Amino acid sequence: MNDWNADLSQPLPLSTSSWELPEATETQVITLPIRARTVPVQSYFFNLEPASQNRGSDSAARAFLSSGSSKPGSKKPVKRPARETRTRIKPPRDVVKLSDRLFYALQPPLETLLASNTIEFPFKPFDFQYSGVAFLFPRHCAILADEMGLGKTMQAITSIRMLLRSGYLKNVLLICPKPLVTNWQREFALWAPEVPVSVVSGSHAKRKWHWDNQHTPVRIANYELMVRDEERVTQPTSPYDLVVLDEAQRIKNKSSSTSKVIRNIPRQRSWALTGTPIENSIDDLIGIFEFVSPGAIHNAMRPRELRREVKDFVLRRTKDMVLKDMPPKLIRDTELSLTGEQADSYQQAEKDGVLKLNDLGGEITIKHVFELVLRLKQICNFDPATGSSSKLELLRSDMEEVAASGQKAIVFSQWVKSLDTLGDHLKPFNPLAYHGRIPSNQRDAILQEFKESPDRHILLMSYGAGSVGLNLQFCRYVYLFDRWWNPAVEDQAINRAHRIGAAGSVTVTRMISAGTIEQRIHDILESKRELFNEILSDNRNPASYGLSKEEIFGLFNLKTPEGTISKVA
Amino acid sequence: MNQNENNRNPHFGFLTIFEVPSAGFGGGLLITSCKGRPLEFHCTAPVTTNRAQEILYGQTLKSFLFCDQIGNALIQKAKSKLDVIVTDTAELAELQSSVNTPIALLDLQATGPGETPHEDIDASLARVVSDNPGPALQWLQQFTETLPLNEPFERIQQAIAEAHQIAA
Repeated sequence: MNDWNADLSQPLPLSTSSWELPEATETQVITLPIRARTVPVQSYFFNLEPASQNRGSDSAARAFLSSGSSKPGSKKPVKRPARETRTRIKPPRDVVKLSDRLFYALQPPLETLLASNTIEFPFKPFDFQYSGVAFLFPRHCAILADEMGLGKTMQAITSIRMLLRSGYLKNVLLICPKPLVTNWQREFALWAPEVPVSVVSGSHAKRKWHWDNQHTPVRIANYELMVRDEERVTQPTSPYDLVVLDEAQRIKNKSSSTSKVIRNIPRQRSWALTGTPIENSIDDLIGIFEFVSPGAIHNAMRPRELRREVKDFVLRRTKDMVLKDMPPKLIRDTELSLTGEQADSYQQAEKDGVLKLNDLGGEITIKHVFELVLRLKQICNFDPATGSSSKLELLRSDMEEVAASGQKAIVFSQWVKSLDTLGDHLKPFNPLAYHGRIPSNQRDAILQEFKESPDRHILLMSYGAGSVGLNLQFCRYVYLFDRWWNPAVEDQAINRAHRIGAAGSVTVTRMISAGTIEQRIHDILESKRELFNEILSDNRNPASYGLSKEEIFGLFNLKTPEGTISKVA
Repeated sequence: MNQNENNRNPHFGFLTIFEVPSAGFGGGLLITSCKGRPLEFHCTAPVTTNRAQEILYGQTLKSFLFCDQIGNALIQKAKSKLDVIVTDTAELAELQSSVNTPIALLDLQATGPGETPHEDIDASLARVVSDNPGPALQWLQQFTETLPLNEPFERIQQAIAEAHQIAA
């Protein structure tokens, strides 16, 4: 045990070594600065106070958009527009400065603006009507070319109302056809009851006093007065802030006195309202543009060029485009061969008629041509000798089906005589007649009976008596037994059945006698429809246009006193 | 909200980041009144990052770019005193650490920067990031009586599109 302890107490035989470290070198640090560049910011400031009194392109608009701002502590709720009904005011093309364009782009939806400016409406406008207001509101040059019945009047009045609220738009001159003056008064009372409106009318002295002394914010005058009161209307004490033309196709002929006077009216803004900006040719649109934006378009432009140029100035909607709840309207162009008897009568009448017209030489007038057209159209309805009619045969066959399914049909013709003949042949369907020879005090009862009696399947109507103001939306079938000169009238007729509240799809049958004057007229109108659509519309909806004098002469390859007209069919 | 706060119009800042393909990210700040009227608009040109920044910032790159670079630059340009900042860009919530104004982040599920949500956003779908939100939530509710909170972002998109159109 002692030995063991002695061994442990012995030092271990360890050997040690020493190293001398070289002097430590300093670690090299590389610093990489991460430079954060300052991000440039573009800033735009919008004044909530009304804009200065300058007459800049958008000062009035700015004023309205800036007004109605909430007062401190104001709790009045503003109705919030749903996502699908937010209408944006888009900057027009003639607003060039980015800051001005952003001013429009950054505005809340139109519905919010109207609500916070406490603009109330008697009825809730349709979404497309808000869009129309958003279109007109910022524009100095605008054509609202909506199809009839879509509320151009309401859209114009609301835009005027908004601009008047700004305090910058003080004097508006509205020019319309004489029969529509009272309608405009009524519409202003409905849609802008707080806006004072006066009508220029009466004797020369009374009108003179009115032009010189009456300073209501809105004046209404009719086209006929423009030439008579030229001196007054073109030399107001201060330029008009806005001149609105209703049924602006009235100035389509730019060399007419009325057009010249209207173009000379000093003004800041020019708006044109029309459902038919092209009635006959591009010249019609150019004539309207001479008022709205002189020189913007000319007739050397190709349709595509025109389309590009007019795009920012013109807003055109049709019922089919905007009234999504409307049932479809099916147009059926039915080309029918004349019966043998009709064909013989037709050829003889045309041959004799053209010979007579040629014999007239320089004495020929449009009346002569018109008489021949009417004569031929009548033969297309019924053969004068035998009464045979291919159109009647089709109609009778169709009516079997219409009546069997418990439906009702309206048949339009331009002649009461044709309607009478139809009445005789369609007795099994218990026809009712509604035309100019029916006394006014009996008409309502006829319509009532047609609506309520399940046995009455057919209503025979003349275009003149039945095309405007009637609601026959319970009818699913419309027949145009013969064609009117101007599709605007045909559209009015069709719209008796195809309107808001229609029970279902409406089938419109346009009867055309193949190879006849009806076919030629139809072709001209269709080519105009194509032209119209090419320039103003993406769809194939009917536009409104009629036949010009040259085209009526051209139906028979006749010469007019002004020169040769080529045959069009 | 005390009486003084009740009696003044709060100013809302709507802040967003948008991506411009192959050009980077930009930002827009729309300042409105309680009724949604525009008071100021600020925007940046698209900003790109370089390779060194991508390596060094790693996963924090977006936060650096969106908050430090773009968001701060935009907020600093505001002349109006902002009472609440609303953003549709999640990364911008981090801005709260550097600004006093309460930031409200919209819950835009399934949407990214610059995309428009499918539904209207109410105050209930806004999350106030700040620990001290004050009256921010009430102001947001007040705003939504007039417009949904995502509506101003649609305007910013329109304005950016206008600016690009002019620049093109």
